[in-house]
Amino acid sequence: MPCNLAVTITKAAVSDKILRKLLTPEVVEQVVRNVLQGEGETSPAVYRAGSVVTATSGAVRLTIHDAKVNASYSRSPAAAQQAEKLTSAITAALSTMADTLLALQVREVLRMLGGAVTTQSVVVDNEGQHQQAHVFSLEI
Amino acid sequence: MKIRVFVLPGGKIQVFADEGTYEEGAERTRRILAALNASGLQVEQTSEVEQHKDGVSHVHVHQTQTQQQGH
Repeated sequence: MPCNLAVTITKAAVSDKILRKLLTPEVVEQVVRNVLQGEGETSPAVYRAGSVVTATSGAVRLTIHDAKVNASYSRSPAAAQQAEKLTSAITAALSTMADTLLALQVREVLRMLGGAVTTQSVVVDNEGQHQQAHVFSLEI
Repeated sequence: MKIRVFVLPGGKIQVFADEGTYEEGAERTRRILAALNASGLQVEQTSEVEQHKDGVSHVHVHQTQTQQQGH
């Protein structure tokens, strides 16, 4: 897809607030479960009450609200390290999930506009930075 | 008219019109952004509808790393 075929290019953005709204408590709970299972927890202790998701892993207690992760832990270097690791992993996983949910919603809107939509997952060079992206092609 | 919509990490979107005139591309782009807004996404246009020949910075796709999916 040589870019010299493009006639017009327009940039837009969805705010972080909207991205966080896409992460419903049910979605957050599942993301946290997946992360903890990835860390070796066979039956992750994850609970959801309203918009707050809590999880416990060893000496670390995590609270996730509005896509923000808060960790409390016992006073030990190992617990501190575990807390940092889990906070980073969950934050990254939530960010990726928000990107995916946004892409799904964009695709649905485009389908309603133009019917058939071709989807590709690509790596793009965005001002010198390589990024994973979804590309939707349609005729309208 | 062929349109490509890139969804990038962090909520960034780029809309390419690949055919037709500038006016047609601009109209299609506005239609897409309006539809996205109507769906509740509150998309903010962060650039004018630029003509590609004006050298506006945009994403470039690395053709060797694409996975095509269905409709």
